[in-house]
Amino acid sequence: MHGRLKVKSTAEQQEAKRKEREKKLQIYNAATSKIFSKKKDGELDEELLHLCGEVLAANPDFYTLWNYRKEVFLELRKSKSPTELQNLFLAELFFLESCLRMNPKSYGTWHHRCFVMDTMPDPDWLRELELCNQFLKYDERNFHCWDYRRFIVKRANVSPEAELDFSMSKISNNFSNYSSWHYRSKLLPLIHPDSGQPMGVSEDALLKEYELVQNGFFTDPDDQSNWFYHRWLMGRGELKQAVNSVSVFQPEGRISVSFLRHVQVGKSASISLECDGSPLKNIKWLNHENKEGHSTLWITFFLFIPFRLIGVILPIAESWTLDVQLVINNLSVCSAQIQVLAEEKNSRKRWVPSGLSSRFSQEMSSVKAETLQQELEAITQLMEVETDNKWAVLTAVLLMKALDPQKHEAEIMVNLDKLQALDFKRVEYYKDLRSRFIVEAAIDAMDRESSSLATTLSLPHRGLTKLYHSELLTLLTSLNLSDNQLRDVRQFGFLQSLRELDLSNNCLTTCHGLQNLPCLEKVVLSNNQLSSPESLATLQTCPYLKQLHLVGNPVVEQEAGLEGIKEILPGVEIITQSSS
Amino acid sequence: MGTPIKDVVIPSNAPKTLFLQKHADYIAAYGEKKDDYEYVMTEFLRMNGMYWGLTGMALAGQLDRMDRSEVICFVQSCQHECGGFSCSVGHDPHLLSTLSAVQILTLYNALDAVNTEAVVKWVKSLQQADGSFYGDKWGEVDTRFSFCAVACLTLLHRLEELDIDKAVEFVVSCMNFDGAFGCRPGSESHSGQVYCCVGMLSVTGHLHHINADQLGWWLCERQLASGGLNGRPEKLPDVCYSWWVLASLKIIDRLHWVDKDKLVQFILACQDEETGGFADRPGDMVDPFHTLFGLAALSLLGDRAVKPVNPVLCMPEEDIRRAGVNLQFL
Ligand SMILES: [Zn+2]
Repeated sequence: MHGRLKVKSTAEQQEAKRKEREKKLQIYNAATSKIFSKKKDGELDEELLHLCGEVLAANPDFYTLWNYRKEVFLELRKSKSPTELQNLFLAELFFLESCLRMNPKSYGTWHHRCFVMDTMPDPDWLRELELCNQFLKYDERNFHCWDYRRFIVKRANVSPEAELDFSMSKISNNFSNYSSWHYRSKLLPLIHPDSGQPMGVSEDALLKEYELVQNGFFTDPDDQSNWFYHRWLMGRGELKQAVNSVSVFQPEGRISVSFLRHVQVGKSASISLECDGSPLKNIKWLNHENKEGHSTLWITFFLFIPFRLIGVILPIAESWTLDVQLVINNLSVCSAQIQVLAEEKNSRKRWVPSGLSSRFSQEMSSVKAETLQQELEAITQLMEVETDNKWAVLTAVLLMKALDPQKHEAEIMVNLDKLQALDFKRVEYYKDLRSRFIVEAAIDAMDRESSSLATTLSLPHRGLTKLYHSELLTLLTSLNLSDNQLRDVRQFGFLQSLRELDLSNNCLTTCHGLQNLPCLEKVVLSNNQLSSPESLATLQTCPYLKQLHLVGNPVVEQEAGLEGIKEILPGVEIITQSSS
Repeated sequence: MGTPIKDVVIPSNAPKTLFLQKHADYIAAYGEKKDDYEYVMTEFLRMNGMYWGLTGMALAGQLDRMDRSEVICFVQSCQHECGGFSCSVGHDPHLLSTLSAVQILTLYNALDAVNTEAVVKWVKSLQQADGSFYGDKWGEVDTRFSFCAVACLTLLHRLEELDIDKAVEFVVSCMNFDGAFGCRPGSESHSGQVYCCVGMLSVTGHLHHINADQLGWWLCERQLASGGLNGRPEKLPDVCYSWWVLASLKIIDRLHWVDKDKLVQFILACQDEETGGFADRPGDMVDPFHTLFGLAALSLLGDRAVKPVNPVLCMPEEDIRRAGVNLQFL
């Protein structure tokens, strides 16, 4: 069904083809009906093997017939001598090889070969490795063959070092070989393990890879493989779990805890709370969507007792200490402590990374920093020759971001604009990337002023298309995102402390996401594309909402729309005219 | 000197509008020619083929043209004692045909026509200690089968029968350096496999394992100058990848990262105006497989002539809603 060109043919040719097919069909039908009747009668013999072979040679995806062959072999194993069996299996391997030459991408054929190798008395694994070499010479991207190779390597205990050499030989033959780069990413952590490094690969091994892939993109700057691999090398691996922030809302008796990584509280994970050393018990946790699924934000649940909402009962002392601990499978994963004062309605604490210029980049040794600096210089050279190469520009951006986002901020933005012009098809990707970098810079700035526990963030007129990292903004009380290009507010459920939100002059068509925000009082949605009362329905779940600005939205242009909103949101002041 | 980038050129006379009626006619006629060479030779795909055709018809709003009772009767006759379905009568049961059977019955709201209890038991029996799934009793392991298993059981509302944590762990172990997924741990990334793994994580509510920006970037880089999408780096574009890549992007909320207009142009150019149906590339032979994925992709791209499609299960959204299936989206 792939790559069959439609050709115009004469009536004569069509008739000839029809006749030929009719003949083939007769043979096929005769063979299959014989096969099915033999199978039905339990005749698992060499004749069945032969018949299946005839059909499979032309139809390798007829999976049932591969199964029959397996059944025949399992049956023959009971009666044949080891030598006879070995010869039968050798013939099977020969047959399979001819099938694979005709159709090297048939799942069934490759899987049957695995079966044969695992079932025959005396398998020659090294010969199979040689077969893989041959097939990969013919098509170096055949993933079936690569997978078969990995199967052989495992069975024959071929060393990862030998396989790394093999991938090297493929790459030196042709840098444009995604399969080989992929293979290296799997082998390096086995050969040069280092759990302290982000990729699990020791630093000096990674530095050699930088050199190799640099050769690659200088040889072939338009080839994706090198660039994808390079981006992997620059990666920062997985974050360690930690408490990101803790908030205590005293009047409601509500506590929210946000983590750096997702967790599902309930099953094997639990959050323990201690007030001045004594545990708070019987607490139910729900995530930011009031559900039980994986999330980074967990909130103590209000137990509903008829006619009354009851929160966690908190101490009345003037000052007390709250200890938070995440426990998974009875092991403490991370913890935090917060000092709560009675006169404060809302006490909060935010985790700030120490010793990092940015929480969004990794800790770097001086060797690594030096290497990245050299990379940046090399890329800059490449950009001078290949002025329109988007990969080089993007890589420069990523290098600058990894090295020192603050120092390179202006240059990063210029290059992101350039990328949007160079690679128009992916313009929205670059806009989102830009939006992410802007928010990351803002959070880095908040981290630097760690003492003041910033609770307001203002990013108007920044061309934001998406609010990244809202999960790190759980303590904000005021957020101004006016005059941007936001299309939705789906990630806003994390903003649990938010009181005021300015989203005027964006492209919103719905408020879906502004859900269960327990402190939200004022929302400015002027000049968006909200066209129906239903698009505002989720605001019903924000209990303290007092004021809603809707100037310049289609929904308030008709009387019915405004009436509909008032019905949905009784008691909320709806502003439909700008105060000049 | 560089390796030339593989792509196609869209001929200037290629179709530019959707021939929806012709596609529906093509599918309806396909099932009629039961003695046709092509038809007979693809019997090992029959159940999948029927799912492609029927879903294509449903997306075109013309499912009522197909013979419902004949279809259900065929599906029933393919269920084995073990509970699994084969692709055709007399063939062996397999997870791939079992999912297609369950999807067909869901389209027709006729799950009670078969022994669903046995399906559940059989699918469950294929799960291995490492969380992976065999495609059948012969032991081939593939993340496609992980998707088939959870998709089947969620359509039957019996997902809890599986060891979901283990199943997720296995799928996550197939994630690669590029954020995308392969067939088994160690296998290279491939868009079809990405669709299965992302779909699997959506069905089970574990999408947080995905680095959406990293995966989304790899996926949107599948778009070539012609507008078409390929399945892996340095490969030719193909209509079926329009579906696998787009559906994955949709699930992780990154659909806007491709150039929709150019992609629509490419997909429309793969239609055969004469016969109806879509081919993999402009000028190639059409088949039901690419016809369904062409239509489904156009639906995701906002073509109102085609019914809204569910990106996880590749069925009309209205049927998924009626079935009451819960899916996660980022
Ligand atoms: Zn295709």
